[in-house]
This record gives sequence, structure tokens and C-alpha cells, in this order.
Amino acid sequence: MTTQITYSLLKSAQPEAYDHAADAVQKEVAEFEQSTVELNQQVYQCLEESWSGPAASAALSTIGTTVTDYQATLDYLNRFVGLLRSAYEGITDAQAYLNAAESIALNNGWVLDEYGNARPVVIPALHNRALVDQLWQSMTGNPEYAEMQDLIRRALSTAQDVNDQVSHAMDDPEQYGRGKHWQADASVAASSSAAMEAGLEKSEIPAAGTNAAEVAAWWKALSSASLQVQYVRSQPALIGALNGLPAIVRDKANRTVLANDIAADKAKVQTLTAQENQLQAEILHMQETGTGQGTGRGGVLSSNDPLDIAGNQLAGIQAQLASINSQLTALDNLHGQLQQGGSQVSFDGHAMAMPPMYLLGFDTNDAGHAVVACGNPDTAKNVCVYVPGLNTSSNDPHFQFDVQHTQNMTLEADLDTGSADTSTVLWLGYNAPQFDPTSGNISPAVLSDSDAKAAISDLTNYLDGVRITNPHISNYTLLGHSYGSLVVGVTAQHSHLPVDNIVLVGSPGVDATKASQLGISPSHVWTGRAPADPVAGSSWFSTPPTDPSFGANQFTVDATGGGLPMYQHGDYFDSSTNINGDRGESSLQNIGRIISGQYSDVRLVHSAEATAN
Amino acid sequence: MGKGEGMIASFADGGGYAVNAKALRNFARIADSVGQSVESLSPQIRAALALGVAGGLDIGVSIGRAEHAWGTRLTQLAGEATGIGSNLNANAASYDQAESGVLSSIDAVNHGGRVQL
Repeated sequence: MTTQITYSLLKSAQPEAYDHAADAVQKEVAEFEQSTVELNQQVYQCLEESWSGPAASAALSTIGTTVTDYQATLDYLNRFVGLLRSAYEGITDAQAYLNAAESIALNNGWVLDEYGNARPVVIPALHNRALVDQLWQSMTGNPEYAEMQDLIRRALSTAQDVNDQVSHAMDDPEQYGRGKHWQADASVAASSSAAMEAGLEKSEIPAAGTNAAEVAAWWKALSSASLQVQYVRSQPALIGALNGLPAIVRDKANRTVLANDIAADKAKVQTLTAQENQLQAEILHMQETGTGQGTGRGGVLSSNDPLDIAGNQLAGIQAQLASINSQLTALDNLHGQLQQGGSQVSFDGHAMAMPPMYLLGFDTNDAGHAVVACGNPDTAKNVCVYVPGLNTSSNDPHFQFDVQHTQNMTLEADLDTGSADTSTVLWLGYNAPQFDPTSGNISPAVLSDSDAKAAISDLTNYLDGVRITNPHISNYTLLGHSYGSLVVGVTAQHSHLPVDNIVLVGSPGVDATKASQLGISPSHVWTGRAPADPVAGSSWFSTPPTDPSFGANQFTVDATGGGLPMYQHGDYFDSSTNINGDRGESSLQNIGRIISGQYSDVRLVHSAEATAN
Repeated sequence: MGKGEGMIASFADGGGYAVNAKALRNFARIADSVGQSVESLSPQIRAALALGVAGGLDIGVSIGRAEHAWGTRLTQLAGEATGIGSNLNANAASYDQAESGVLSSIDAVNHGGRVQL
């Protein structure tokens, strides 16, 4: 019978002590292994090969049994070290869940008592019953309250499982040579030891792209929370990419990946900077001593002059440094924005709390991929998945504005409903076409729908996964901007999407001529176009969705782009307080009303019904 | 010492055995050395495990129990190795007493097979 793990007990646990013990025991195990090898090879095997007869048989039987005891003990000692490590990792993870819960409490002005129960901080006198009740209702009605409680439950459940399993295994009398004859059970003991390690640390993780329902079933079938924690810790990149897993699990995994990538980038910058400094010193030395003359043709590789060679090397290193520094800035920005959950912000003249932020997918491959949510998609009443368009890159510092747009949509919809019940998810789960806007040339990739079609499967799986992790969504919206609207359009035509609304803004066309081709009622297809947005007027991919013949609702967009037409293309999600001072608010307000399901308040240029008549 | 190095000299003892008393004493010395090493590990592993008791929870209590149990177990195993040394030395003594064919005395030394600890 093990102890019931309580909030205060878990708080006071010192898992690092298990790790220290594991390190120390490991050293002793190494020495014991040496003794085992010596007894086996230098005594038993030598005698077995050279000594025979009745006396030898009797002696070798005794020695062989002892060697088996030593080998079994070695296996058990190694397993014991593994148990100490598992205890350290499991309890550390459980405490991390508690820390996350405490952060939520702190951000909301709640207090957690020693039992893990939350209460609002009551500054006015307690006898003001009405105010106290109001504070309690406000707290318990807050979606973050449920999330906090879930974290505490997970923490205690994880710690209980780890505590029970590890202490039970540590008390196993067989490892101390009691209860059974080891020479007969050695192979069984070894296999059970291996099985336990496998159970705690290894097992098959579904492949990326596995159906979200299958992933959810696999996760649910795992035997314990501690095993789930082991997966998150050992394979964060694989776990973080799986649709169908809870948002808090993916967030934890992907934040680990992000932190690792930031650390790796910083290490690269350090190395390259050292190389840059060394080359600069060498070049200076060559210039001072006249070792190399230089051709003055910077970047010309044909020169054999040492100064030119060094100059070219320097240019290469500086180019790499610029690229990595740019990515590092982007990743640091993302890390900073993920910390904004719970902070007080001024949005469109309203003081609001930023909903919690979640990193639901992340890697730096190609131009980078990231899935970032503002508000918990697993608990939100209204969910919007936003697919950005061309040139979106999570490796580029401009990605911060895409995240900001995501936050704006959640805040706008929350303003409409008067409560924090929205989650907007920025889904950059595909390879968005990239081109250099300063070149004036749009690459063929931008004019091709191949990247959009390649995204169909992943986007469909993601959208299905949200429905699985949150079966209680009241209003589910899929929004595409620019090339992202094409991604949305081709996906909607190919798959039966579990969404209530489709929103297309700044769209170059969606490979369709009618809203009715998108798989939902045209009365729930919404389009927006800034007056001078050149992309929205391009018709690159068939009929512009705002064309009355398309048969969708068109809402008003009052963007000005600060005077430049191309800038209007990025104004759809700006609040009235955006950095350019543009008036994108009409678009954002309309989008917020669609996300929150307040359709009658959407300001229309024309309705789907009107165009149908 | 490498494998087989204990075979200093072999001779026919009437029964065709290819090991002598000197070789057996050499193996006995190795086994005894293993026993002493493992005996010295006993307090060390107890001290190592004591570090984990401070972690608390039931795990800490189990580590405390393991501290005692592992210490005892290693002492037992050390005794087994030392017992092998004694066994081999006894065999060597038998060889000394009757350089050939005194199998009865060897059997007597090895009566019971496994050394009882």
C-alpha cells in the first residue's frame, strides 16, 4: 500500500536526489561488472576448459552457480539504476505540470492551497458575500480554471503512478536473491527487466500523419500517465507532431523542440562568430604583412590569392551567420509570444488578458513549420483554424505578425462573446510558397497549386484531430488568407471537412467557380477583399471568391494599406491599433463575428442568398 | 591475467587431469580477490543509495530498504566468491597430499557441491 500523493507532498519531493543516487550507484555497478567478468572469464571458463573429473565437476557446478548469481545481480543492479532514473524523470515531469498550474493561478490572481484547491484572492472583506460569490463564479467559469485543474490532476496522477510502480519494483525481493533459485530464473529475470525498461521508455509511436482518431486511441491506451510523460520527454519532436493528442501534451513537446533549436542556433552562432573573428584577424595580418594582395574582386573564387580566398571564406561565414541569426530572431520571437498567455494587453481600446498560447507543431525544416494557438483548442467553444499564405515562414522574424494576427482574431471573437471561449490556431503545417518580394518576380511556385494540393492530407487530418480532442466545439471555422485560401479551397473540395464556416480573404482564387463546391452550405462561405488588394483581384486560381457569381457572402473590408495597395493584402487581421495605423478593423470585426457565430452582425457587401437570386 | 594463464604446468595424475595444485591456487587467488572487491562495494553502494532517500515519497522509503538489502546481497556474493577460493585451495591441498588419483579426498572436499553461505 503506497502513500496517496498530495499536492504538498509532490511539491516537497526532491527528484534530483534520485538522479544523484543513480549516478553514484552506476559507478559501483561498473566495478561490480568488472568483478563479474573476472570471475566468469578468469576462473570459471579457464577451469571449465582445462579441468575435468569428479572433483572438477563438483567445483565447476558451484562456481557456475555463483557466476550466474553475479550476472543476474548485475542485471538487477542496472535495472535499479533505471528505476532511479525513471523516478527522477517522472517526478520532475509531475512537478512541471504543477508549475504550469501555478502559473495559470498566478496569472489569474488565484491562490492554490496546500491541497491544490484554488480560490480567488479576496481583497474586499469576506462578509461581502455577493462579491465573493462573483469572484468564485468568475474563477470557476474561466476556461483556464479547468485547464489548471486538469494540470493538477495530471501532476498527481503522474506522480502517483511513478511512485507506485517504482517503489513496487524497488521492493522486489527476487533481486536480492530471495524467493527463487536464480540459476533457473536468470533468463526470466533478464527478460522481465528488459520488458519493464521497454514499457517505461520505448514503444511504438504512431508515424507522423497517422489518422488523428488512431493517435488518440493509442494515447488513451497507454497504461499510465508516467508512460505518457516518458514519451513526451524522450521523443518530443515525434509526439509534438501527432494530430489527435491533447493540446497541452503537444505544447509541452514542441516547446522542448523549440528550446533545443534555439540552443542549437546559439551554438552555431558562437562557432561561426569565432571563425569570423579568426578570419578577420588573418585578413588584417595579411594586409599588414603584404602576404596577399587581393584582386579587389570580392567573391571571385578563381583567384588564388590568399587574401581573396580568406575574403571569400569570410563572406560565406557572414552569410551563414546572417541566416542563422535571422532564424534565431524568429525563434526567440516565437518563444516570447508563447509566454504572453495571461498577460494584460490593450486590444482595440479594451484591457484584456491574453489567452494561453500553445505550440502545437514545430520544426525548422525548409522554411519552417509551426502550429500556434491562442486559446486552448481542446476546451474552446469557438475554434478557428487559420491557414496563412505565400512567404509565410516560421524561420523568418516576420512570423511574429502571423502569430499576432492569430491573437487578434481570438481577442476580437472573445470581445464579441464577452468571455474567453475562443481558440484561433495558426496552421503553418505545409510548405508555403516563398519568393523575394523585392525582386518583383513571382516564382512559378506561387502560381502553381501544387503546394496547396500537397497540404490536403495534413490539413484534413489536423482539422479532424481538433474535433477529436474537443468534441464540444460550438462553432468551427476554417480561414485561409492569400495562398492559404487556395489551400483551404482545394482541401474543402477534396475532403469532407468537419467545419461550420469557411472564410477566404485576400484570395487569388480557390480552384473553384462556385462556393457550393466547397462541401458546406454557401451561406457559410465568407469572403473578404480589400479594395486595392492586388492578389485578391488576380484570379490566378479561377474565379475570385468575392465575385457575386461565386455565390458566397462577401463582408466589408475597410483597409487602406497605409497608402500602398500591396499593404492592403496584409490588413485583414489588423485591429484599429495596429502599427501602421491602418483601419483594418472592419475586416477583423467581421471575422471575429463569424468565428463567434454572430452571423447577423457581419457587415456584408452582398450575401450568398442575394447572389443566388 | 588472460584466459588460460592459470595453467602453469599440467601433469597426468593417473586420472588424466590437466591441472595442478599451483594452477588451482592461482584461480583461488583470483576468486578471493573478486570476493574482497565485492565486499568493499557493499558500504559504497549503501552510501550511494542513501543519496536517494532524501528524494522523499514512497520511492525514498524503498530506496532506504534497498540500501540495506543491496548491502547485504553484495556481502553474500562476496562470500560466495571467497568460498570458491577456499574450495579451490582445498582441492590444491588434496593434490599436494596425493599427487595422483586420490579422488576420494577431492570428493570429500567438494561434498555438497555448491559452497553454502
